[in-house]
Amino acid sequence: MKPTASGQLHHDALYRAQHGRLLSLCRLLLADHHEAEEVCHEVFVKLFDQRAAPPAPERWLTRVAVNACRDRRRAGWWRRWRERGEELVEAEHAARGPTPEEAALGLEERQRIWRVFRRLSVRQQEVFALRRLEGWSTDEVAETLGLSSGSVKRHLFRATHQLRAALRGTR
Amino acid sequence: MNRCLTERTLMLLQAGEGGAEERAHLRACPRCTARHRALEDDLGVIADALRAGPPPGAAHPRLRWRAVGALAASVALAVGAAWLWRAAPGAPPGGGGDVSALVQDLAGTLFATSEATAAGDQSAVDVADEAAAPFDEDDELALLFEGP
Repeated sequence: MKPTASGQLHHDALYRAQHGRLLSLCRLLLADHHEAEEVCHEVFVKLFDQRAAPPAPERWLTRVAVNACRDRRRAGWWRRWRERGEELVEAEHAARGPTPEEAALGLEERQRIWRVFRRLSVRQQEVFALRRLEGWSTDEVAETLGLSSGSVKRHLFRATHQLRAALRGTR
Repeated sequence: MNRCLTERTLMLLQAGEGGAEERAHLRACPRCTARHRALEDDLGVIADALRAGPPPGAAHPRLRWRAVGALAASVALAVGAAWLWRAAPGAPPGGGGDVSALVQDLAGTLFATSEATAAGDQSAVDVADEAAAPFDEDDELALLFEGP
């Protein structure tokens, strides 16, 4: 069923407000700009397929995006290998327009942080992204990922510990 | 509470969790306060780095190892298959130790098999035999002028 006109407006507003945030999250979890765009697109298609906007749309979008990224990582490694040229495109994309954050950080430091982040388990990445970057509470992360609060804290501690070690170059 | 906070407790406090006792210690202890501030700074730098997107040469380290593993497994499989085919009864004699020759033999076998599967086993072999036989002009003329 297609959404009503007011529902369509609501969806459009949601898209404008959330697309950037969601794309950034997907790019973080997939480390691939094109795949992140695809997942982001899928997530918004799912949103538009809903009869009415979910009660907490921001959280709904994040939860669906995290699950979609996980599915993509489970199923698509062979495809990413086949289309590995995209990695270079991604690198160019990241290197093209330096943001203030990029300018402030040394390239080597960023590489170290990203390498360690990619080596974290999927759960640790998800927990770190939701807890530290999205600013969710421990209980919200636990509920969304189907974990206990203790597990979330454990994953967060391990992820933070490894990332800090990478930052200080002690690994 | 006299003992300094553990790294784990500092992280919990930084995340807005932890008990009143730990918070009181954090306020009172200059060393723990400095560690807490360093943790906040580090997390800020890490968050900025991750939000800025992957830098050149940082993506998919696991993938590279998987690719290397897949390649090694494929090579091992090909060599193993060639060795088995060579050792099987009915294989042509004179099996030397030349791996490249084995792989060429294997490739030839696979090609012939796929051709035979496509056109029917016997017909493919017949066609191959006919193609291999020398052209006999007399036979061809006899076929042309053969009456009912």
